[in-house]
Amino acid sequence: MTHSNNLEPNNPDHDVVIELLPWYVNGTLNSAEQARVDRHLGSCAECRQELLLYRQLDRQRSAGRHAADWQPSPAGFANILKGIDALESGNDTRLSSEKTPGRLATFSTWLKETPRPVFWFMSLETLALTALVLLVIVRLPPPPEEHLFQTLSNERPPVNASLPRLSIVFAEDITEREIRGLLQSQHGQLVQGPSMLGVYTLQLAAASEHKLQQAMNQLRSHPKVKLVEAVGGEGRQ
Amino acid sequence: MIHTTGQTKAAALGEQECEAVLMQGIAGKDRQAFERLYYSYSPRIGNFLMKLLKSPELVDEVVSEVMMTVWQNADRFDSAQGKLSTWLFGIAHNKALKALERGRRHRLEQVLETEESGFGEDEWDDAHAGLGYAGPDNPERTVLGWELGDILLWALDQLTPEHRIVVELTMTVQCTYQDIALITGCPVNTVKTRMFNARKKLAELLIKRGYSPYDIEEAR
Ligand SMILES: [Zn+2]
Repeated sequence: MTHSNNLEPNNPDHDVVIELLPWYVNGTLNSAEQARVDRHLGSCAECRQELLLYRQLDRQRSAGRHAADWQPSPAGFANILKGIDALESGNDTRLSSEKTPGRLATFSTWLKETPRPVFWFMSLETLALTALVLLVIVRLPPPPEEHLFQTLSNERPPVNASLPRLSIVFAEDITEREIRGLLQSQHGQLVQGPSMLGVYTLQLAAASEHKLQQAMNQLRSHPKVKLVEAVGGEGRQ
Repeated sequence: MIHTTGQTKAAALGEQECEAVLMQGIAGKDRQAFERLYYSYSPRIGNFLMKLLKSPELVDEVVSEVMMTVWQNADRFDSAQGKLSTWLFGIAHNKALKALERGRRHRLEQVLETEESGFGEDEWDDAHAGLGYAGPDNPERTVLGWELGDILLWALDQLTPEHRIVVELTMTVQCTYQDIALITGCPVNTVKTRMFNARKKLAELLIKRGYSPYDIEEAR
């Protein structure tokens, strides 16, 4: 890896240190890393210069770091509880045959009772999506990701180190069918996941850099895919 | 998430146990435990979201979404896998990404409504740059009338959500890069690369507006 304007190309520290600078500035490096940066800064003008922009960014951000930009409030918490009550009263009717309309009605009542003006600015699409997400959570006793994982990647195909892998996060409302379609169109297999944060690892058959990029672009443009990243870096030039 | 150097191991362990107990309570539908979680953790999450979303009403909504997700999935939290704050920021990150994407799509629609269609990516960037932000549009004015802080704020708004989130998690929330990797579900190297690319983009934007990012110290 080379960065432009590297004044000390022979210094093995430089490439490591220049990437650590943001966390040097926010004070979260461990003591060994911090000492390494300190040492390197003494001899590298480029890194000292890089540090300036990060310091400025930090100054800009620290101004608002402790300001009460947003604060929790009893009203805010009460509203969350209301939403939960709506969900759970929906849950109580789980055994009834008309569960979906009942829950939708409960949810829309909750929305109507929510006085904050922001709802009136939310698009219809967003409301529908939120409703869908909530319904999925309520309707499937196991969380949706687990459910998908069981049916789609239970066999856990072996991870093949020579094949490219992607980290992928699906929208909460993606259906099993949509995932199958995506996997088929990319000749991919889910080899790992979901992580605690809902990240799956997708192994692709495509081996060339160009094909990988193409696959990533296609996946990213899918409306039910939230995040796609190559495992092992985002392909720096 | 916060820098824990100097903290004794025993204290850290105690914290881990406290978090596990709190989340067990919430998984058991204990609303008082849920309220404790709300007041302890939502301020930092709210401030992070404010940097990204700008509107308190929108942040209210996203914090509610995060809290409801926590209520529904508390039993999935595993204190052995990481800190509670990391888990919560992971959820907030997903919700924020979605909200940013909604905002981006909305702005794009506005641009397409006012201009002829057929934007290239660069053209879209330029149109986007002038929309909804009191951005410095001409370089002369930039040099004469704009504080560097304003220009940086404007430039931060031009970053992609992925880059923006790494910058805010680093500078506003003060996460370690390891925590950012957990929160965003990316390898550590990707986090570092995103940060590096974000910095590169910021420097380019400043230069484009007639400002040298390296004159910063002298300018102050
Ligand atoms: Zn250096």
